Amino acid sequence: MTTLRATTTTWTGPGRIEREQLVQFGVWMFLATVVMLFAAFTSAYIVRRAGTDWRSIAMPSVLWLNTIVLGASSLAAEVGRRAAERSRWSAARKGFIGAVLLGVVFLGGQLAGWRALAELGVFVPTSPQASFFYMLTGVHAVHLMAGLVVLLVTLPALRAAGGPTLGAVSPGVRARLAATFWHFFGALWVYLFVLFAWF
Amino acid sequence: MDEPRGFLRRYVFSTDHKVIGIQYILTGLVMGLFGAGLAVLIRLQLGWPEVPKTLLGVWLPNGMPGGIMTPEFYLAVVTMHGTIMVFFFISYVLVSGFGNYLVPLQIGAKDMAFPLLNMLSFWVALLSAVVMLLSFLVEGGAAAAGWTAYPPLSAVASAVPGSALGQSVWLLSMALFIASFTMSGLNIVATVFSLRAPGMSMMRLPLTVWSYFIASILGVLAFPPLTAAAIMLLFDRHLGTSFFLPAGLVIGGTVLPHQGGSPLLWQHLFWFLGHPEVYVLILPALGIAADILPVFTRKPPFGYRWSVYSLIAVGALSMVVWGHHMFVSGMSPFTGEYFSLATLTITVPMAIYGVNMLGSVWGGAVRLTSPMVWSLGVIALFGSGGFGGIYLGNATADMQLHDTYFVVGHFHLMIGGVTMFGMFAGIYYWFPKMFGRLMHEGLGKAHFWATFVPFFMVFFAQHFQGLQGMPRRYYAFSTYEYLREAAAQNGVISMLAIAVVAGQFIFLANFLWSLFRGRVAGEDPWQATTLEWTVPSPPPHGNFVAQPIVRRWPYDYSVDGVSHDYVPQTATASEAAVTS
Repeated sequence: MTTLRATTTTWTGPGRIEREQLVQFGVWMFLATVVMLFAAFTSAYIVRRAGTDWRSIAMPSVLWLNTIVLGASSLAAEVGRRAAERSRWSAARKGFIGAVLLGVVFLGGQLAGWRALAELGVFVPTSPQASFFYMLTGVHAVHLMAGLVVLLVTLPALRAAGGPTLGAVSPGVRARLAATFWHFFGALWVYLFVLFAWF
Repeated sequence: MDEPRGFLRRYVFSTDHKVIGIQYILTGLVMGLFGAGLAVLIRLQLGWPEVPKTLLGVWLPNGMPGGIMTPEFYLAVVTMHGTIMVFFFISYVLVSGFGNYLVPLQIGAKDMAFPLLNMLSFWVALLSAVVMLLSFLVEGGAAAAGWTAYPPLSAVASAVPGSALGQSVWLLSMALFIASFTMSGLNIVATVFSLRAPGMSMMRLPLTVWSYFIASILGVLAFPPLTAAAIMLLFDRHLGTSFFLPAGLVIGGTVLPHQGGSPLLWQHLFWFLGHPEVYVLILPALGIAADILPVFTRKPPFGYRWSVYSLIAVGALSMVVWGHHMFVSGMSPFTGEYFSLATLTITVPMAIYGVNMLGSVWGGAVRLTSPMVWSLGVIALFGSGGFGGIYLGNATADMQLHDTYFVVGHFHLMIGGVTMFGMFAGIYYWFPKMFGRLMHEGLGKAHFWATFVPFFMVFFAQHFQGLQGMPRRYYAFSTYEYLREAAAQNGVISMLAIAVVAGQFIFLANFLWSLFRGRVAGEDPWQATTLEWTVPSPPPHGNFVAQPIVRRWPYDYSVDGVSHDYVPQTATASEAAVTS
């Protein structure tokens, strides 16, 4: 039934705007899996908390400082995103570099938090909350490192010519998606900190 | 989209969804052979536990010294059979394999949404399969805590030989599997969501695509909790934590230092994945079968809209019923009541779907081709397997039947049978599209009967063994007086099970023969309407030269006033009246 078929001009696949929507959809789908991951950890935390051997541990004070550092890092990424969407490339790059540096400082601070606990004799198996603390900060740090990689690979694209392309997505959109990633993991840290400090 | 040149870029490290789909299918079929081999070992043991299998004793000197299987090796074999069949056979062939191959073709896209991610997903999947197979070779042998990896067997390295290195390798392989399956699922969801051709509204999607869409959403949302559980298990195994391990656990005469943890926590987290996972596997089989029926009855399917609604409802409900795997775990009777009610609610949309499939056959001009008989097999197994589910979903009945062969029979009919029959229906149906040649009809039907009859008898009989109180996971039943009669049935069941495995060689022969000697198919050998049949077989790189415009739903068969009894989805209203 060849006569029944549509014939139009040669077709090269989805255009730029379609691709951008697609990548954005993919990013949010991925973040949904991260939500499910931490939802499962949270439910395990609540269940385990009912155990008779649950003893709360004091949060190392450096974590407050870390929270501020990560907030500042998010702010820098936000400045970078806004600049990128207005094609102010130099400011965009500065913002992203700032976000990366502050992110690294945060990771160092988390390590300091671990050391502070260890000096108090609180190790991974010491108490259930300590187990959760080391595990979840560790898993969060791994996600944050992935976020750093995303920021770093976005950095070379933040220029007028667009830099190296990835699936034909414009630099402004790439900056937005990288910032989305980064804000998400920042918010995730705040959630975890609240969970540990008050529950 | 430039066509890649060179053998490696084209057939090995390809980003083309069709090549990746076929790579998944072939990998899965090879893994299926391993899984089937393990099934034969299980049945040889259960059928004739005291008879030495001398030849196997030579090949497997550790697991079967002198040809007699050790209990530890039996546990490892059962674990690996379940793991391989669920994750590496059905998931690869049916979900990732056909999902990759069909979704872009059926929605009118050039490729998946993220082709590079897709290639990465396959190579990680292959690595995961290889790692899983290698776990047989490590010290202590493969994991032995069941495909569900329940602690403490999976958490304490000294519990059984397989709990040591074998379990670690199992967890490593599963981590790779989860990463790969999430990439693949994310890709399918994004593709269906964003890359549909103009005119391809959601309610014009073939049921196959709907089933992959729902299954992939489930997979993407349900696997992360297993990842969380697996990370916690690794901490328990290697860092001395007590997430899943209670106080006072004695293994090998020593009290373990753990305290306060709960093995039930693992079960909750595992089944929060595990139950949606069975729908991830079974929905594509149901979608494929429901799509094949109209082609060989030459009429639209019965109740398309309600079938779609049912798939959505089943998907949503599957996330909130995991507790029915744990009725005997000491949960509150009220919780049990909730899980019973929720589980039995699933029978409503599933029954609608099943009746719709039956209604699709009713009054049709039935053509009994190979894909059609396998699809009818799906209906038969879905109906009879589903009946067992009504008993098991009910907490009161399940407390008697839990951990008996009733459960084994039930889930093999459903998650083993429906999925496998749907998979074979799909292979017979789309083989001509994949390779340009039709499979042999006579061999296809011989394969069907050689599989269906013994397969059904094996697992139907196991329901009755369960009713007699025969527990699962035991490596032999020779010492139990009350099971004398039930155990005597094992010999016959084993012979039938081995017959099922032997029947698959008909398929292998057919597959290889048809690749080179099958009748040349042409574009549309089945006179079907969906988009994949409007392109050459096999389709070129990029699938469609011009963007297809969809003008009707996929089931315009026997439309009044048209000379042919089928109208492709791209046909305009002037060529044939649009019915939906």
